[in-house]
Amino acid sequence: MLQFTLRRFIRGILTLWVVVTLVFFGLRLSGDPVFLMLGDEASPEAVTALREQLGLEEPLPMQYVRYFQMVGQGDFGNSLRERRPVTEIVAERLPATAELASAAIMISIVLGIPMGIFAALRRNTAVDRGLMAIAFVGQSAPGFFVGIMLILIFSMQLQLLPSSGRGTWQHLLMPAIALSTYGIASLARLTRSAMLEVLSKDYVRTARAKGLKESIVQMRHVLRNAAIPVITVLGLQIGLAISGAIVVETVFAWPGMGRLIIGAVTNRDYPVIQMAVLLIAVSVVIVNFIVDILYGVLDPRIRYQS
Amino acid sequence: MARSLTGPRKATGSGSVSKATKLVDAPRRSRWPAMPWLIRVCFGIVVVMVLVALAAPLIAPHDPVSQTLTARLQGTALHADGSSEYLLGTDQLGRDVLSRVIYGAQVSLGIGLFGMVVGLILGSTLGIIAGFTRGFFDDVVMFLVDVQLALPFIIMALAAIAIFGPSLPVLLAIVGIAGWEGFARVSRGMVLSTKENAYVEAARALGASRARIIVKHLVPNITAPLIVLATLNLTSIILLESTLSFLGIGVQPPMASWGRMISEGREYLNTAWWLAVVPGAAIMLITMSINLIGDWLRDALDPTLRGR
Repeated sequence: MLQFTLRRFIRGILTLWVVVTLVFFGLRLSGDPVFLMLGDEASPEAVTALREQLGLEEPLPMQYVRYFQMVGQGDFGNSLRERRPVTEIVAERLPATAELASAAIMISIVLGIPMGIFAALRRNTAVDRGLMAIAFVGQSAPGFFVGIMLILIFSMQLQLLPSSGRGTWQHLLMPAIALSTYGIASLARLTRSAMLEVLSKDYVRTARAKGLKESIVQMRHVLRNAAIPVITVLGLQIGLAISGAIVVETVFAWPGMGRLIIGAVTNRDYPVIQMAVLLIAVSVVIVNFIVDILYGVLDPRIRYQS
Repeated sequence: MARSLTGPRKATGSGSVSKATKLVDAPRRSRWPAMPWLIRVCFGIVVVMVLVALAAPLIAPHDPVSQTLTARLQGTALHADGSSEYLLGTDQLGRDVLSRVIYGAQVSLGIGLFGMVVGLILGSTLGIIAGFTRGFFDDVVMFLVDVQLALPFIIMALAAIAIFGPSLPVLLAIVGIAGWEGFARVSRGMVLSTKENAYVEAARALGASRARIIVKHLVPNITAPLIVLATLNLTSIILLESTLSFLGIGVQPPMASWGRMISEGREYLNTAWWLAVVPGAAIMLITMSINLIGDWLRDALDPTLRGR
């Protein structure tokens, strides 16, 4: 188990290293952010001064080494646009995204998994078909379009919920639902298929044959075994919720990381982009690592195989 | 022998199989199971959309980018202020929504198809070579696959757009890279299991070159799962393009893109909801149809992929 954990850990670190390196070199090789900030008509003195201030005068490998040192110290430099520490800006935005993403994941779990279980236990009935049809539509709908439809219906027509901003649970409701649509749908479909697969196993038949109550068979034998693929996908869902938040935040003017990133991409504010990308990469890698470990704990075959 | 247990699914020795079938005069089993009506409808929708995209210049009633400022924000033909000249109304610049949706199909499907084909070629080539040669090349390819799988692709797409600026070539490069890892993983896995078969060994014993073994014996056996994956990949690329265009960093104006139309239309949800709803419905219609076809293909062609 220790070896398994260690391997997964090293893989996560390597992934992060590749991401940081790609973003770092890509941004610096592509163009000159100084001209972007000062405009094409800036005086050469101003350009040189700013280049020195940003450390862009040093050769690339030096900048790279210095960057890693800075990242290690938690210093991501100043935003080119706002001229204050990136960490400060991100710290202001992070709670909003965390709130939105965790609400969406909660909704996905609370609705998606029971939907899947329910459909599997009533296989091939109208209930099953209806639920799966809903799940299918949910899986094909882009989050931003779901968001716009929600605004159209609940804000514009019924005037029940605010269409933008953050603060109360009413503000959170629509963005969280828009963000969780895909999660609900895919968890429901996956839970259903995982349940069906386990339900057809010999040990479930044996459990029934020895006279166990159906509820015990379902809880102890079916659900526990069906949980393994569901947990893996749950890990993926967290990554998707974080990245989906970027789009949904734009729709609902939610003041989180998503809008920060889109703004930074448009303005080529690379310190912000680097920190945002790294932060998302770190959170996704950590989630994947936890899922891998959990997966190994739940299913011993996996840790022995690798 | 092991192969034959999986049924008469693929090429090798198919001549003798069909001969044997003739001898016992068994009913010919089709490779394709019967198509449910829903899948027929989906195929119909996709075919119509493709035809619309191809014939856009012929069937679009107006130029998708020409602005008629005097006819701004007109309702659809069903609205009181609408006219039959603009069946789906006009947008905030007086452009015909129907023509823009028609041209949007060209952009959406064109970019989707391009991304899917590039990803398929890139991913399956790397995957097949990795699986066949193993060793260092395999390690590198699989590490890159892991990196790409570990991160939400949109983050990488955003970083790339930040670096190179939003433009069509950048967008095409992004959609080309999107999804290659899935093709690489599946084709590598299939090659690893397929190359252990006796017929591959026999070909090798007969002196067949590596290239010949790959092209003649491995590729035909891994096409089914790749077709399924390609279908499902197509919808994720269509969604990726529309998302990036919605964020204003995908297809650039004045080109008509469904994602961009939704983004522009959401400013007018109160007065002209159809500006955002019509292109959104178009996206959903095409992605749902392709997804349903993909699911059906998966169950029909390759039961082992089910549930992934």
